[in-house]
Amino acid sequence: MFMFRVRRLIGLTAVFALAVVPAFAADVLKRRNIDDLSPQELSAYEHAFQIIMDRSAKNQYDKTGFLWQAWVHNCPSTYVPKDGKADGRPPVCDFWDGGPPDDLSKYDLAHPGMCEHGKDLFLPWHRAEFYFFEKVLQGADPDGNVTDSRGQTGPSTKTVTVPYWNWTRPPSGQRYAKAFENPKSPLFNKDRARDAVAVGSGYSFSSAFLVGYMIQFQDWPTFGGFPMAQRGGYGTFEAVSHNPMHSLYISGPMESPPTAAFDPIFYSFHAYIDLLYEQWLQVHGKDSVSSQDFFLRGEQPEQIPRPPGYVQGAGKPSMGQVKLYFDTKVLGYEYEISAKDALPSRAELIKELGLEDTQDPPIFGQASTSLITRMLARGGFQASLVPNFVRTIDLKIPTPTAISPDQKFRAKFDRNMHEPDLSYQLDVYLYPKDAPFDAGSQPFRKRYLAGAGVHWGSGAMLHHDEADAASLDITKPMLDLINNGHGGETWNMSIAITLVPALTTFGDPSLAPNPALR
Amino acid sequence: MPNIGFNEDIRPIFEDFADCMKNIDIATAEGIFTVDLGDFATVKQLNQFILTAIRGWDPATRTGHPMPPSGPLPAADIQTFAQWIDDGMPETRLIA
Repeated sequence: MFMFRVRRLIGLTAVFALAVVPAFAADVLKRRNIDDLSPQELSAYEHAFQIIMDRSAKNQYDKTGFLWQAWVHNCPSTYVPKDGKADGRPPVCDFWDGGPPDDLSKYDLAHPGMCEHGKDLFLPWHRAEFYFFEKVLQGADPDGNVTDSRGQTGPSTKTVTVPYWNWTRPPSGQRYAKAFENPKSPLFNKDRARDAVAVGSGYSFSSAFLVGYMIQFQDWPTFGGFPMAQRGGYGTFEAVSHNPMHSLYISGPMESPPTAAFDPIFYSFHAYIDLLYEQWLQVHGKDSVSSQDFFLRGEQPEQIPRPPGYVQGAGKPSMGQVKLYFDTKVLGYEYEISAKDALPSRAELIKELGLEDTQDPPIFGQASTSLITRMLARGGFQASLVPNFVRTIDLKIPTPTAISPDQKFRAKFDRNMHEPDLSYQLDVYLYPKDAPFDAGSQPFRKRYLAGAGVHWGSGAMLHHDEADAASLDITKPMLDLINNGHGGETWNMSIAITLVPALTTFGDPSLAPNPALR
Repeated sequence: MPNIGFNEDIRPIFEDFADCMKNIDIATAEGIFTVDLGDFATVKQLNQFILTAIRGWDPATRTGHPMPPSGPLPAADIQTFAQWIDDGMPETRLIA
């Protein structure tokens, strides 16, 4: 896969070599759904991509070229000639695939960049990366007079923005937005997964309801990741949606951070993630975002203006600090969200999903389908109704004389602390010994569901996984049983776990672990 | 009293990984710094990040990017590094 990329770059030729003149519109530009671009707008985006690919084919060290920009995502270090000119070396990142050149005296060791994952810098880092990438695209052919290696001249790229691909909705193409499935487009990559997605098949990683839930109900570390200055740790969005989409849904170059940005779909995929980050900020504000003073790794073209307030910081070149990247309008863009891309509001989520706004973890009562299933199914792909794991114990119902007036009951479950922190829904059922367990039956679920909740795991981290974290209040159904004459009887109590597919680390799928239940 | 010095005790722990890590930058609130595990000033400056990373294999203190990538350091080495931090990170042993 990577070798294909190398050959492709070598095979490209640039017809014109122009000085880079970044274009900055005075107005705030709109980032739009790629499906909503006019043919002219899509053509400008493709033209910009082709030009920067051509630049890299001519000189891999051109920081306004596609290769360098892809390296910003994950090329920790590579050797660059002191004069910055092409030298005939293979266009690979030395840290990963190359090695020192023969005459080191003519080279400097550059540090193009390294993405931040599994911590609270994940969303801010990619926003900063795209700030620069978008400026590079705008500066590709601002006057519309450059002929790219496909022989296409113009249109102007002055107002190009990175369009987003809304991957919470069924795709406009067979698997992706149509724009990424045109083999003649520079946005195409033959190495990504291309199987058509049918309703009811494929991976169930996201939906508008699922990400809407995360945005509306989750605090910063839960949504965006845990502080870099402490132990770090995945936020649920990164662990539950971002990672599997990279590795399992798109795959190919997107499977691995060092190659992910070689696939042009990376940029629209992450533009949508940036949109979700923006939505979260609009709901919760920026104050709770952690590590705001932290610097963001990346060596970007000198001619691109830095955002207001920029200081490089000590040490190596940076893209500035997290706190510079909160206001997208200051950065020159905002998102245009049409009705079909609008995420459900907090009120809609509460109403549609039966969520009780005041409880944490959310308890959603006598829902006839699981919360996760419902969220995934609304506007997205289908999920199974069948729980992954069921554990059942005998439960002796106390007699009325054995309980106090303010008696409470909680169903508790221990998890194995040595297992990854997965996301899952847990359902508690109380039912007679002679009733067969059947969670897939709506009558059974409606009659015997005693409580339900959802745990949003953070991937490898165990921040939410204290022993008493997974418990549910089942006082009301227990008192109902006692007050209706069932005291002294032995019933079944079953815990049903439905896992949300997640990864323990970026590129390392893990779906099998079985939480140990008491 | 522990008598741990960077030159005598800490540098040897990281010796096998110094070359590789010298090409990695790490983000902090002060700037971006290359992880030179053979350099006293760098290790002192990045001590908490390094400690977090080398403890990252332990399920109780797991991180997204545990170090070294090949597997955990011996527990005694991790403890030595933690103790060195607690002792104020001297460059050499206080008692020769």
